[in-house]
Amino acid sequence: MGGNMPRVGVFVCHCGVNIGGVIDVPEVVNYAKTLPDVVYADRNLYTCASDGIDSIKEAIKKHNLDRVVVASCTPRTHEPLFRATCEEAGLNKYLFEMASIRELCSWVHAGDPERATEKAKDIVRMAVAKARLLEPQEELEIDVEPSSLIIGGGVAGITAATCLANQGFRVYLIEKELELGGMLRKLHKIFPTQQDASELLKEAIGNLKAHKNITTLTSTVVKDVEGYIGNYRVTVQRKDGKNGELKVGTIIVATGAENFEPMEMYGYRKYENVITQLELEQLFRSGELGRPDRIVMIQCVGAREKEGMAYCSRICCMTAIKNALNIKELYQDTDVYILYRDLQTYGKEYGEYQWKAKEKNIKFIKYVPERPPEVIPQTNGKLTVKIYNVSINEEIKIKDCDLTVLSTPLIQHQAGKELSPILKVPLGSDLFFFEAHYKLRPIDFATDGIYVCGTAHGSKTISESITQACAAASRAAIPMAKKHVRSEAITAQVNEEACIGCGLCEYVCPYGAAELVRKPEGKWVSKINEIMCKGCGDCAVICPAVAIEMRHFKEEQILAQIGTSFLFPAEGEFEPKILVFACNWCSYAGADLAGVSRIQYPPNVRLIRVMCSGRVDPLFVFKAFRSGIDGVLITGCHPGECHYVSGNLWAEARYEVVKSWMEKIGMKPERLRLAWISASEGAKFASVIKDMVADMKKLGPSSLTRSLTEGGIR
Amino acid sequence: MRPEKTYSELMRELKARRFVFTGELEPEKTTDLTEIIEASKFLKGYVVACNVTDGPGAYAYLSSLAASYILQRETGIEMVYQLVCRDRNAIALFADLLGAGALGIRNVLALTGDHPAVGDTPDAKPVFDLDSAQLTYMIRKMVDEGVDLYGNPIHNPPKFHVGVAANAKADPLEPEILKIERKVKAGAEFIQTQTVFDIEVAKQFLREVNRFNIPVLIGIFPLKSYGVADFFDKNIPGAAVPPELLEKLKRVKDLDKKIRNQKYDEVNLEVFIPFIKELKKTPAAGCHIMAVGYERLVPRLVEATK
Amino acid sequence: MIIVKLKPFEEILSMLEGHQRILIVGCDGCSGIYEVGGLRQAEILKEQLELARELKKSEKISVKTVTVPRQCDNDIVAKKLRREVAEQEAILSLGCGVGVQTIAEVYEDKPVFPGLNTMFIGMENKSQGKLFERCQACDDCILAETGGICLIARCAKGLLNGPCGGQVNGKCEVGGYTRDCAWVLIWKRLKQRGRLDLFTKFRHFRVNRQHPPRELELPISVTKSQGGKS
Repeated sequence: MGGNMPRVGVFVCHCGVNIGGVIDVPEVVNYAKTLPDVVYADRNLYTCASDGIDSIKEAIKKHNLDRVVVASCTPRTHEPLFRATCEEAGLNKYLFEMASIRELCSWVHAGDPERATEKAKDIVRMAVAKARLLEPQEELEIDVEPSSLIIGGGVAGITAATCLANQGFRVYLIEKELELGGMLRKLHKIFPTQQDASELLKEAIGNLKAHKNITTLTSTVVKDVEGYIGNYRVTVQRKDGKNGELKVGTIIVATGAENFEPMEMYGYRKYENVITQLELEQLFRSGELGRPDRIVMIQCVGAREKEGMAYCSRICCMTAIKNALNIKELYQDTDVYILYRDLQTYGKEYGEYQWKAKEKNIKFIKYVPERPPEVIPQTNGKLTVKIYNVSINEEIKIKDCDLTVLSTPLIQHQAGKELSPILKVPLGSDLFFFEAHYKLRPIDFATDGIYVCGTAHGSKTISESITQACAAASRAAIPMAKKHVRSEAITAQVNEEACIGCGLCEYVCPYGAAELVRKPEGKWVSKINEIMCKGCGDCAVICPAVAIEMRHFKEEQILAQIGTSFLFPAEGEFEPKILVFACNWCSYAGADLAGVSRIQYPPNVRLIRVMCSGRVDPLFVFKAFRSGIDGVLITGCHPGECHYVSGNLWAEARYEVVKSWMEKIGMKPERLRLAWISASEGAKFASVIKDMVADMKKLGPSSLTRSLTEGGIR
Repeated sequence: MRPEKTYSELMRELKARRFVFTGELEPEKTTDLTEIIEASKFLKGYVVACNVTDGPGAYAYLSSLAASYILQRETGIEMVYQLVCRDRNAIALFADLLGAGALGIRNVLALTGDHPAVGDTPDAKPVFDLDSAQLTYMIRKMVDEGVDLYGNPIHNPPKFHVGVAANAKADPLEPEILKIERKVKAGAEFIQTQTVFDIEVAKQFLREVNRFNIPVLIGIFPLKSYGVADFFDKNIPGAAVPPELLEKLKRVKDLDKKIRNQKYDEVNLEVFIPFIKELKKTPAAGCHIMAVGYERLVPRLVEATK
Repeated sequence: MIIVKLKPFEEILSMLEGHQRILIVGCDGCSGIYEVGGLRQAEILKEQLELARELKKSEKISVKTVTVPRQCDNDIVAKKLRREVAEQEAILSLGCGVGVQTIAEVYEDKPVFPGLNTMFIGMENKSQGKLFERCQACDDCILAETGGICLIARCAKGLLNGPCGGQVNGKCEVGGYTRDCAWVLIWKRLKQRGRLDLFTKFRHFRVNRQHPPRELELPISVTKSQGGKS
């Protein structure tokens, strides 16, 4: 930054007639020239075309610009282009700000060119107010160690290891047991192909051993993990009790699951002829099944409950049918009953499986959870199973059962539970590992560089585990193939002097990027790892000491935007002024979609773009109201879909608190609203705006004195 | 703030503005009241009522509820049941007051109570769930409205009057006066003060509380012997004995024991008869004679000041 | 702050009898700030324990020290002590009673011993070189009526309508008339401000109390986050 006052250049785009056809671009340019610190303003037909780009570069050089504002389309398309343009002209790319006057203005207020032009001026003024306060930033680039640690040597871990090794990366595969194989070692035959599990396993291990790139460590566990993507330092403990250290760039969690043992349920462990499906498989393998005449299988034992294990374990119905068919193959005449709640045999093969079972005279009886089966011992050592058959509304007694087999869900290991705090990756409410985003990032953890596959993530079939393992290997390969990772410089920054060491940032960060550390002089302060930080802003807003700032989305920059959002006074009929906070990933995209779809709505709104709705500080809301704004709308991703995992839930919690204060301070609570708008909900965005404008019109103007100036408040 | 009803002799006399004498009885760590009953014979006919102390000085002594009942029954003298807030919570205080009602007690003195730390059971938990003002308020609610603190009705509410204590010699005096204002607001019906030796102090106090329109009995402490006087003077702050009086008692101490008691009596009569005569000229409603163990002096005191 | 003091060394020594691998956890909060249980005290105690056990019982024990910003947060205790706790078999906490209990709750299977006695909530008066009890967390602060002097914490009887008759020359009967009667202080202060009406105000028996053990919701529920995260 040369000198004290910034030199801002403003470039207003016609975008052909897209903008120019509605907005009086020359008027906006002239207005821009009157704004503080604007030393140059001009217009282009298409700023993104080569002549437009060149004009920016020339102007930067000729007029010594150190801040650039382009008023055109949505930043979500061309911000990278214009940032690169600035860089090419020797200007740090973070000294650039975009003002959207197309998607957010000309396309949605086509019927009101006068007000659209006024709004465009406001938008430019907001962008200039922020641009003046922008600071240059450096993006961090770090090297990525081209090696990966796979934790867990079951079929998923082995597959992932093999995939990665095939791509040329170094792989460490560690397994806590003496032998590889995991659950597969305990299985007999695999559905629906009836292939022998041990054959599949031998093949997989064969592939593994063939690779020079793979180091396999059995009887080894992970003790500790430090570091971040590209630079993980893992402490492992070997079977001799000694520790070793591994340096890897990525980590894949493939720790599998174990089978739930339903203690005391249906007589398990009480009567010796009540066993689980897994135990049945062992009996098949060992040949110790004997010759049972009658077998009853009970599904959903310990699963799909109201409390505790509420989930369906996906594979048990197929497993039961598979084992039933195996029995029928051994002994045609053996009676097999399967007592089920619902038969979850999905897809082509598994659907056919069910019919095959019925053909073989395996009997299916439906029960409801309110009236579960009862297992009663007989004096001759056999069992009677009582079941209320809902299809015929009758209780049936299946007498003289030689064996009762319970289908129980897969559950998280103790080892998996212990791994969670070591890796700092979360478990879901079902205790399986919890992915970054259910739809958009199903293999990743929120923490960069760590991925998950197999039943560690949730119950699934072997082929699904294998598929997921390949996917995890692909994901892990990306940073390792690129050899570097770069982080966008919109990260959080701690003022160590002000930090009181409360640890809330560490608690709140979904990425584990904030950590409370003890400085040598004894003070505890928050340290933010800029590679892991994604810039959501949750920490900055929760910090009780106001010690954290978000680079490029600083409090003063946002306040400047709030302060310059509306020009007063507006004469004539009352037109409410509504300020909208929109998150970059969902609601801002939704607003853009409304623009693209040309859905018209009143020009009473000004948008402030934040990375996450969790960035919206209650102080912003108060400043907005105190500057005379009539309504404030906070928008974000739908719950469960937040790009930053949970920022929107913080936004909601804060919104509720501020709302509860409003009446006490004499403001009508309806002036503050919250709406969840996804990227695909353009129509919803427009309708939320329309409703709010109508409601604010009825409420009337805010009674707070307006204190806006051209330069913004303060 | 005074109710229309009169439940006790004490109150009847106070309302009639007749100068009233009250006495004080202090059962100690005993279950046997024989001696006290015996001593109280001196008081009968001379005092209208007698206070029964409740763990004075935070000493764990005989329950004043039991003592009040037994003494009232055995002596025929009306008792003033002293109740401190130190040892009982709101429920227990309430229960004991219902008990007092059931046992025919007609006067209560609501006191805060000395802190356990100064007594013989110093580690006992100090309760103070209520203070004397809140206790006074609760008692008035029980008697006048027939309800407890939460408004729950009492079947056959008790009938007694409630008084409070005051320190006429408090220094600084103003907070003490303001505190009395509070207690009067809360419903106090009469005041008995701690011991006073100097009539001017008594007069000053009476001037300060005059605006509250509440009967005040000034407390006096006849000193049975030099030993007692010296002990109280040295150990009980606030019970400072005037030096001249101490001197006089000291001289008696060395006399022959055959005439010593008589001489002690003379010293006390010399001091207190004029005091009481002066007191009768003030707006004071009466005199509270704290002659514990020295009851024999009371008849002469009362007679001489008629 | 919460005012604590170190337990007598003999008591700490006898609590830790039989334990060979001990972890001393300091606290950089209240106990550290008042130089009772910070890292320095932890390290001194470590030396004392190791020496005492060697000299008195001829035992060579392993004592490690670690500190946390504060022990009264179960999340901090879980995250910052996991490694150290795993290595040792008994824990001596130099935090207040809350800290000891938090550690015990988080690390259920290891015995946790209190190295301190927790006394009161108090104020530091550097010029007098003392700490004074000033607050009893009564959840009904009426300092606005008492000129900023707490009648629960500073009146020995906690009277809402004082002073009692035990006051002599502005000194309290508890403590041999060496300590100020809080009510006389309140009277002086209110008189100064011309607000004796606040002194004479009759304060009723307090109702709607929350009885111990008490609870409070965090300002923004921190459990309401991370989707389905457990």
